[in-house]
Amino acid sequence: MTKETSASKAQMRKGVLELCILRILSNGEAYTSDIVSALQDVDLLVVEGTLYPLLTRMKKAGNLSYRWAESASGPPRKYYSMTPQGENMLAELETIWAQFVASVNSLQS
Amino acid sequence: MNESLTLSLGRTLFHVERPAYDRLKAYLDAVAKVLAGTDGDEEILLEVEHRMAELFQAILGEAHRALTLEEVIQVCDQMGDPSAFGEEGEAEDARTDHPESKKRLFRDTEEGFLGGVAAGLAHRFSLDPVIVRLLFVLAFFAGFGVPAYLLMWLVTPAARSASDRVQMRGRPVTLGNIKNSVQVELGRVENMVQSRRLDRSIRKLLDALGRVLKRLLEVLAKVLGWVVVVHGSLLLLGLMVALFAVATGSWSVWVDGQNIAPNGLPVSTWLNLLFPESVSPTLSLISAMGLLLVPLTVLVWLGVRLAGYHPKPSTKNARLSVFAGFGVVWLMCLAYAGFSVASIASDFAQHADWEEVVRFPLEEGALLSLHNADVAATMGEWHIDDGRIQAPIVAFDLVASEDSLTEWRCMHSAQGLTQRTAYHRAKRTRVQVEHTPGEVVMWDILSFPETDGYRGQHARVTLAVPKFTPIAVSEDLAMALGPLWSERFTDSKLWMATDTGFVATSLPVQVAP
Repeated sequence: MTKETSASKAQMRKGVLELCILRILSNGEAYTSDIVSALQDVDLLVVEGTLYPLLTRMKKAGNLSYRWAESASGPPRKYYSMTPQGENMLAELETIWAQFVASVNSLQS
Repeated sequence: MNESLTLSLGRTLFHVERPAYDRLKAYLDAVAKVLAGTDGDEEILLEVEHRMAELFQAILGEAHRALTLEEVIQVCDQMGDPSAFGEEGEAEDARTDHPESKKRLFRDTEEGFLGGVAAGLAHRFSLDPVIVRLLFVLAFFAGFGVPAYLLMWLVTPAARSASDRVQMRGRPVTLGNIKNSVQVELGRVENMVQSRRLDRSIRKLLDALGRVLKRLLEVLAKVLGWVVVVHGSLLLLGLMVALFAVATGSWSVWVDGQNIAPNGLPVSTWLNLLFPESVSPTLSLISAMGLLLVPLTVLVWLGVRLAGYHPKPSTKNARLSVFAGFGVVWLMCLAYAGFSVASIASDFAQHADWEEVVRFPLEEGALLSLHNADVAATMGEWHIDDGRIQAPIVAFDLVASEDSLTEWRCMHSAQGLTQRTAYHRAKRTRVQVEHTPGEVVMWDILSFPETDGYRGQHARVTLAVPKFTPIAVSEDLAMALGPLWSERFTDSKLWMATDTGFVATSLPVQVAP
């Protein structure tokens, strides 16, 4: 992969990250580490640094909420869940994504 | 044995080895710097700390030991390059390390002293701002410091947004952080060494080396600071004493008391001779010293900072007003010094000559000699007699005359503000000559009124003697006529002008009847 294509891959990942987080959380609440590993498993996240500002922004926008839970081993964990507003947003993003994929594919010769 | 520290990360306590601690702290600082200005930065930072704590916990498991540098680097790599935390974070793949992301030149208005030019340059070239400021002060003495600073102030944009500040700094590699980067480098070497299963003592050695290097840099900066402070202070002290002497008027007494008398005239007299009436020599000297005093003070102040002593933290406004005060004083000094120089120079602007001619007959074998009454004059010194300056600044030429008469011709020259003042000054100069048929006595002293001041007054005497008339040249005159005549004098005492120049002659020997 050239430097150029890896840069556009990074841009694409960034664009869909919000949708992916909402999809993960649509299965129920998850803590940070779960979100990280779910994204890394499907190669949508390389380093974690990009995730945290995004999570905070989504929470501030009212799409996510969180609660603290003690863990048996180690520090307390922060569990994220989707708000009703987040569910609306997910629905909208899903439509946008479907249109997006269709548009891009339609250009295939 | 390794030094280890305890630190709280996301409300969990960890033991960390010293190099690992420094690396972790540098990383979190860098992340905080990138996040600075973003909404909810503290919350994000807390989240990052939590996550890192979790990752460390996973590495340590049940083991009770300190975290190593290697482990910290591993976790930092997983979290990503600090720039990935920015909204515009592009370097997502931080596993390929960019040691020096490209920096842009901005003015650092927050850390800057004046306009932030020096601080901005320091960021750009990874230097300590104090060093850049010192260079500016040195450039000031070389004459281009102020224009260079002002120009850069005008053309360099100020770092306004958080992203500007990140671009300005690039990766944080300032003098204070050299230790960290050195240790990260050492950590890499360390890993290599470890993987080759070399002696553990090498690790310790490298560790110690890093500390020594950092210490060395600190000491070097301190020494440089002290050198600047000591030399600058001595110069300042000297200037202060001189300034005091000039201001109280005791300087002329003191200077002249030390017999500093160029060309035999006291310094105070010389200053009065050189300065036009409209310019005060005392004020001129004070402003000249002020010109040096102000930048010297700044230099010493910077030296104090470099030596490691940071005077009480001053607000930017206080600094600006102190600097403005210094600046105003300096500009006033500059204005008066400039005015003095311009006034003096303009009084030398125009040149004028005035010619005086005396013609008389001369006998064969007549003696041409130089007036030799005054010992001081022959020593080449000036003196004042009855309100007139007496200066041995007359040049002599000896040539052949076109007719049978001897001609003493004197060209008086002087300078002045206008052609007219220069001419009148030249006319007020005097050069004496005495002649009888048997002897010509020429004065090599030019006199002019003390009130005229010294404006380049000088005179050139040309003596034209008839051809084929033997004449005797005195030793004094021969010396005054230059090297050629000094040499001729040793050959013969009698000389004669011919069509092809002067020739030695032994005839005729005059015998009294």
